[in-house]
Amino acid sequence: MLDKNIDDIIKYITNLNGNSTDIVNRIITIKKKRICYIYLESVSSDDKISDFFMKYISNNICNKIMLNNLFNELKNTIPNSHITTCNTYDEVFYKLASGYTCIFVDNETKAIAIETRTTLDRGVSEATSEAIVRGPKDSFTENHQKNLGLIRKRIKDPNLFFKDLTVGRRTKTKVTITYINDICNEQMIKKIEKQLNEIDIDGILDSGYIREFLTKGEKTTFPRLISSERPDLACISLLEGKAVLLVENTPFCLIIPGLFIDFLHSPEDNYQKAVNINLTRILRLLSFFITILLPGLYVALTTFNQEIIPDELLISLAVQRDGVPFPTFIEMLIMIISFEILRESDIRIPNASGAAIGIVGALVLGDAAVTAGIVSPIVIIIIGLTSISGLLFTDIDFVNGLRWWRIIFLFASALLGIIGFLACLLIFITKLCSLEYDGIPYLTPLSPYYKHDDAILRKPRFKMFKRLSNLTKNHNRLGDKNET
Amino acid sequence: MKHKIIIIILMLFLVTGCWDYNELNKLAIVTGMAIDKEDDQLKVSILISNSKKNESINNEEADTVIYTGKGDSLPEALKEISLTSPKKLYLGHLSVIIVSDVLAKEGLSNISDYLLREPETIKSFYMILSKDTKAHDILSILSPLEDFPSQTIYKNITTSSDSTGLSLAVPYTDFIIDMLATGKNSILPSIVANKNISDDDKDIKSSSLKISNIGVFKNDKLVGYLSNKASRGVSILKKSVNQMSLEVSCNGGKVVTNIKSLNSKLKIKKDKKNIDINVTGTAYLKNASCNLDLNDTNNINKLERKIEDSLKMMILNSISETKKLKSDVLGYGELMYKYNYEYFNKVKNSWDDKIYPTINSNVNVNIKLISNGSIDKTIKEVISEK
Amino acid sequence: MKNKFELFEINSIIYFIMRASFIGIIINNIVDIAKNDSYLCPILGTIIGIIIVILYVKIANIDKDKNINENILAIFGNNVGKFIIILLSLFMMSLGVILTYNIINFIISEYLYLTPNYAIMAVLIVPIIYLLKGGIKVIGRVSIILFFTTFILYILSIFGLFGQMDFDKLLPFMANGINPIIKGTLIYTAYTVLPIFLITIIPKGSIKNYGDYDKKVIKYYLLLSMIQVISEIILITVLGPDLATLYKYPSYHMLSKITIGGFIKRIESLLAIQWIICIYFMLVFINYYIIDSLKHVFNVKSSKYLNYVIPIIMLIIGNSIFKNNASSLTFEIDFYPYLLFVFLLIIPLIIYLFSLKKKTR
Repeated sequence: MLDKNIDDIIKYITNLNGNSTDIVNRIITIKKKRICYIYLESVSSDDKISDFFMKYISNNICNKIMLNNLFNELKNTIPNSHITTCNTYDEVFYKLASGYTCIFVDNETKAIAIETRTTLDRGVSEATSEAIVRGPKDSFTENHQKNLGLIRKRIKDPNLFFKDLTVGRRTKTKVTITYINDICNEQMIKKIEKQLNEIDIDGILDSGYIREFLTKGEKTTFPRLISSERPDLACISLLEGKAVLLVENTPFCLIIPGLFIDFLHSPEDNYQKAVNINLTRILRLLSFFITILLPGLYVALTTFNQEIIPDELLISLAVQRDGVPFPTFIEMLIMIISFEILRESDIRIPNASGAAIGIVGALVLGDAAVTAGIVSPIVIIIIGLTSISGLLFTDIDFVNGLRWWRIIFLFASALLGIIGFLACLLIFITKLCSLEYDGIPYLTPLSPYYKHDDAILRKPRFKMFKRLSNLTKNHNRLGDKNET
Repeated sequence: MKHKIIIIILMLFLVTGCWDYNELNKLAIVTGMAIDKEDDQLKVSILISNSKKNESINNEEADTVIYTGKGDSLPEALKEISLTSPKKLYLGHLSVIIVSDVLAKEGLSNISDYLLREPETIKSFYMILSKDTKAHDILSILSPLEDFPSQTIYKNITTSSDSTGLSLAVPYTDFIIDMLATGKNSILPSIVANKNISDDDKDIKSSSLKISNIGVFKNDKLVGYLSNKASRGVSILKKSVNQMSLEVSCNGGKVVTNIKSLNSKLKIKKDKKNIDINVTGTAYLKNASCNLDLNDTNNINKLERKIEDSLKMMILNSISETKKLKSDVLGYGELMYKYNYEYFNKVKNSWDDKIYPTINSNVNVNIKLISNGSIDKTIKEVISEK
Repeated sequence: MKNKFELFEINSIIYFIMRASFIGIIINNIVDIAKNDSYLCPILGTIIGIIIVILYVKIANIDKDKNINENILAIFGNNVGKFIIILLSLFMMSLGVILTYNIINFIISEYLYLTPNYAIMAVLIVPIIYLLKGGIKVIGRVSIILFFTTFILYILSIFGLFGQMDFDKLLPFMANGINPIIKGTLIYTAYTVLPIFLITIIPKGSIKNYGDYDKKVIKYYLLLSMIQVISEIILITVLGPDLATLYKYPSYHMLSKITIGGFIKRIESLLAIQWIICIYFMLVFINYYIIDSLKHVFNVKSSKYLNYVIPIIMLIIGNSIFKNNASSLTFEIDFYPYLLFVFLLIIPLIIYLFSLKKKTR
């Protein structure tokens, strides 16, 4: 409950915030009735206050009706789109920090909050982390309302529901669950809500925090939710029956659930011809296997089962390897570590000195290592091919998750050759098959085998009629029209 | 916690050293082997392909080295070699084994056992006999045309068996299959060196290796060689000729043709005394040094008849020579066993000596002359018309 | 729980059960016994096996929501039922021991010559335990992916060998009489068809569209038997009966004749992985059967410790039970098929007849 006297209110609020410099307050006296408004200068825009409130007050200052019932009159007639009332100090401060202006009237225990937010973010711009050649190029921003708008304008169905939650003790971040009601699974939404309500943390700064809470059950390096910056990917997933989680102050949304197949897709696949895209998909699948299996396979073949390699290649390899002091898998390990260091530093380096690092990296990893006798030339080719094919995927968590498995395969092959490689492959397959989200296996539609329109190869658009039957009960894309 | 225990236990295996782990530069890759008989023991020489790069030779190829060792059996000889070689012997890429014919005449069964039993060896290497020379000498002849000189002999065999039909490349599994089959005996090609080389002359000689006639076995002992023509006949009947060149005479000169797609079928008759051999093929004209009108169908027919007769002579030659050597390499006995096994089981023991020489063969050859090459007339014909 | 399985997973499981004994036991011994007529053994064995598979399907139909152990307890009561369950699970343990011996022998003869047995054992234990921890759900999903992998490797091997088939090697027809063929058929049926009894561990009601269960199981069985028959025919026509009896693992050496494009020559190490995967999966399934039986006998709810103990016991026994190859051969050929017939044919018959009696009461 608020105090009745305006001075007490002002004193309480400024003390609450430790006399911070961005609190602005102004008391207006109208014939012995006092009105006060408070706003935080850092998040509110001054001209909205003066345009809406002050002009209104100064125009209607002589209206007698208003003076009698000041609070209700103000609440009914202020020219502003969004007016709410606050009852407690917590609510008042929450609204102040969100950019609202709070208006207090003498002898009233409630306050009016009007919306005067300023824009503190960049406008809708091009996606920086997921490049695309053909297709819409806008991306989510840090402004929550704009993000919701980018989804709403693409799907104009009234069944698109938005549900709001607040998470985090001190940050009180807004999290919105978006889903299409008659496609999405009710159980899954309830489970997500329950998990979000159980989060007890002091601050949420990015959707990545929430992601770790939502996937608490199983330890794995593979990501089970997709995080993306693109609104068209979010809308494609909504039409498949998935739920999208939008978090305030971050442009990365979470798409729940993320299946293994989704990491081999890119939203661009839907905008080009199916026949051409199928070749790219096969290439992606091939590079998935190359990036995990190739170093292990090379070590297994050259140190245990040399008979598979053709004769002349084997003789060249043996001659190349003369004088190298380390065993093969230590060579591989050295090159993998140097490549990862190079890649990580490439992300952090400011643009100015980017060129020099590139040259140094190429020199280090290339001729110099070979001439100094540390590694043999074939290892550089293999590690280069492995790392480049690892960067082919669109989701950064997926790419980083693959690195662990590369190293595990390398150790297993160095241990017992092809048998070790096989044992590690069986463990890998078991791990992938045992993941599931809310009863939906991770490797649908490959492992419980369904004939899906868009699993690895894609059918042309006019033949895609069904959704994945594990995710949703509403199979037909065309609703009541039976196209089976 | 449990995962950690398992991982730690697995790591312990890394510490103790891996048993089958072989680095590539610690292996001596053996690509050729030569087996001789010396003082009642086997003398084995092996050709290693990946010694260090020799900088005195201009082209950056790997130099090759030969090691020798003696022993009563093959693994014992190899054990003695491993005492001298600094690297571990790796037999996985063995591509050629040369056996001296002195050893082959005594029987090859005691070296066959090790070669089949050792899991590391590839079982499809080629085996050759070395005729009238020591196997060790043949191994030490190098050729400058190859990137890896150890591949000389291997490529020599495969290309010559494809193109001349004189000899055929016998992989070891085929040799063993024929040796073990009922009613059949095996054959091996042979190789000679046509220059004299002394023991310490390791310089590069140009093309001093030559593929020679086929050697015929009985069970596992070498009984003799076939003549030139007979070797070609046997190659045709074994369907391993890709193309061969044949010359026939025409009025005033010779015509050389290239025969391709030779296919032969053997069929046994009900009276168990006759076997039908049908050979079909296509011929391409290569060289015509006589005055012949190539647009006349009669001439073409006559040419085809001559070619067919020549092939027929080769095949009859090969059959009669194997009959003289009393060894059935063409598989007549196998045919008898397949279609008439009761009769064959009765005469199994005396097949090679008594019954095989009495079987008649009816040879039927059918050749079509398909193409004349780029020119339509013979040069001599054009000149004589001038 | 309902709806955990797809019918296609049953297909994959049957495939692995049928192929598990292929490399170590069946190929070598049938070719030794029946020489060039050994392609008749799978054909005859399939025809005899249809009746046996129908019997197993009828057992699975006794009660849709219970698996075989619960069915036995329901039919025979507690004491006798537990005794029968222990008998069956001990027998399955012996089958697992034989397969373990075979896989370790195969790996040592063809892949890693110098590695001691216990190292291979330690490396094989980890995937087995890891798969058992996931439960029957994960076993089903893994089986589909492994089925695709082995099937692709199988098709590759067939295509590489197609051009080298020589049908003359199948003659002479029935040169040694009919006795060897009958013995070969006996061994084939005992090791290939009888272990299909293991699929009764999955209750019929937990498969998604179980209405087609009966017909589809028989259809899958017939289709997969064709694969065995084709393998056998290709072995004889490519290698010939003499060489096949000479080698210890003739299928492995048959694969070494595959050449692709002239430069990829010796990929038999990679292609032989299909058989190792088959034996691995069969071992996992046998372990699951034993653990489920023990859970019902001792009334234990969770199988956390059993998951670790049973595979380790099986692998240790399998490692050290046979002194050398010769004694294992006589045991596997002359003695064990009869045991298989007793335990996996007569006992299920008894179970089925008692269940009929109980229903008519």
